[in-house]
Amino acid sequence: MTTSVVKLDHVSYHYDGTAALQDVSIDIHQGDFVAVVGENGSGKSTLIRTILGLLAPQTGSVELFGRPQGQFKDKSRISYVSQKAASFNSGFPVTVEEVVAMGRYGRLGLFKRLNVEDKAAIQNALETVNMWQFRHRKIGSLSGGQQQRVFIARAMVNQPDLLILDEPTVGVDQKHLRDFYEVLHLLREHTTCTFILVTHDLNVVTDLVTKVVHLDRGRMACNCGLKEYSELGEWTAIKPYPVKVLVHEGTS
Amino acid sequence: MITDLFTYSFLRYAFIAAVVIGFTAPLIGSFVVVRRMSLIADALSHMTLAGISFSLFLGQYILLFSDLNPLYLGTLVSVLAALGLNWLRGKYVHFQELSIPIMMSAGMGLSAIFISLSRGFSIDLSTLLFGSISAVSLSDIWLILSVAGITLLVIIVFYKQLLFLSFDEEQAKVSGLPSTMLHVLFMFVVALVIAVSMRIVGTLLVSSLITLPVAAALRFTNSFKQTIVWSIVFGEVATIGGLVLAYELDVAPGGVIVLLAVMILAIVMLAERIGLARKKEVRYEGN
Repeated sequence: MTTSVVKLDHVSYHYDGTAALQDVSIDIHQGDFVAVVGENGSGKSTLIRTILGLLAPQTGSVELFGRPQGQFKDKSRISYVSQKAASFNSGFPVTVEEVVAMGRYGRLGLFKRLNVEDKAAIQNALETVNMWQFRHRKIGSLSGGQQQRVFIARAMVNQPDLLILDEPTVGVDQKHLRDFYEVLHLLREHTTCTFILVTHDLNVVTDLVTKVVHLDRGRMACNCGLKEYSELGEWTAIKPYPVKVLVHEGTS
Repeated sequence: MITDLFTYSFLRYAFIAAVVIGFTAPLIGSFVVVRRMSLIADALSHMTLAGISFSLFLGQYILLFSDLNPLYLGTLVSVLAALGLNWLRGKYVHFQELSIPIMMSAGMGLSAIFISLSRGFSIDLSTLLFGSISAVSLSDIWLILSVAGITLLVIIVFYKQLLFLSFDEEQAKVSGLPSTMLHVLFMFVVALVIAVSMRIVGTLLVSSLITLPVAAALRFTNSFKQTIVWSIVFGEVATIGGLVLAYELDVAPGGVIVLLAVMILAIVMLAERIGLARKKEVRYEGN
C-alpha cells in the first residue's frame, strides 16, 4: 500500500453562494500522475487552491501526507506552478538564478543566506530543465517556453514529493509546448514525485497519467484510471475528453 | 558650502538628513516600484502632511504639542494611513488602486482644514510642501536615523521574503511565507520612510525620491540587487547634489533634488539610446 499524499474527504467550496466544488473526495497516492480535466469553470483551479491551502474548504477535510492540512507544516514538500506563472511582470529586474533561488526561500530561516547545498540544488534544477546557461539572464528577456522551464526549475529545486501544475502551458506556443512536455517526461523518469496536472490536453500526457479526475460544474464526474476514462460511453453524464490510450512496447 | 558646513549646525543637519534619506528612500523604493505601488508614496505623504498640520494646530492650544516635533505626529498618522490603505485594498479586491485616491484626498482635505483653522503656522507652508534646508532639527536627525536603522534591519532580515512576495505573491504564500505579516511590516516601513523624507523634499515631491532613482536603475539592471545598488547611487547623487545646489541658489531643496533625479533618468535613457548603457535585452526566441 503506497502512502497517501493528498486526501480530500467530501470537500465543498462556494463563491458567493455559487458552488465551485461539491462533495469532492479524492485519494492520491505516492507516485500517482493525476490529470485533472473539465471545462472552464468546472472547479479545477478551486480544487488546486484548496489542496494548496490557499482556500479553506467550507465543508469536508483535506489531508496532506496523512496529516490534516492545518497541521501540515513542511511546505517545501509541495511545489506549484500556476497558470499565472508566465503572466508575471516581465519588467521585474530579477535573473533566472534569483527566480529559482526563491524556491528555497520558504525553507530558509531569517538571517540565513543560500549555502553551498542550496546553490547546488539551484544548479541541478536549472540543468535538469536545460536552462543553466541562462542563469544570469533577466527572466523577462526569455521566451514564454523558457520562462515556463525556469518556473518548473523553481518548483523542483526543493525536490518536492508533490508537484502541482495548474494549466502550466497557457499561452505557450506549439514548439515550446513540446519542450515543456519533454521536461515533464524527464522529471517523471528521474524523480519519485507525485504529479497533479490540470490540463485541457490529455492526449499529450497519456503515457504519464495514472489517474483522471474529471470535474463537471464542481462535482466529481469521474475519478478513474485512464483506460476506464477513455472507455466512458455516451451514456455518462459528462463528455469525456477524447483520449487515445497509447500502449508502448515493453509496457503492459 | 564646505566651510559653511563646519560653521552652521543647520547645514550639517540638512547634509546628514540628505545622505541618510538618499540611501533609505531608494532602498525601500526599489520594493515599492517592483510591487507597482509607486502612488502609495503620494497617499502617505499627504497623510503625513495632515498629521503635521494637526500637530501644529494642536500646538496652538495644548502646551505639550507646542514643544513637540510635528514630524512625530506626522509619522504616526503616516503609519496609521498605511494600515488604512492595507484595509481599503482588502475591501476593494478588484479595484485596489482606489485605496490611493481615497487616502490622498482624505489627507489633503484634513490638511486644508487644519491649516485654515490655524492662525498662522510657526513654519512656512512651502517648507511643508517643497522641503527646506533650515527646517531640519536635531530631533529630526534622530528620527531620520532611527527610521533608517529600522528600514535597514527589516530589509536585511526579510530581503529574501520581501523579494519573493514582490515577484510572486501566490507562490510565496504556497511556500509558507507569512504574506500578511510581511505586507503589513513593509507598509509600516514605507510609511516611516515617507514621513521622515518630507523634511528635505516636502510632501509634494517625496514620492519622486522614492521612485525616480529606481526608474533610472530599472533601465539597465538585470538583477534585483543591482537595481537596489544603482537606485541608492542615483538617490545619493540627487539628494547631496540637490542640497548643495539648493544652498548655493537659495531655493527649496525638494525641487532641485527631484530635478536632478529627473536629469539622471534622462541621462541614463540617452546613454541607453546611444549605446553606452546596456540596452534592454532582446527577447530571446531561439532555443
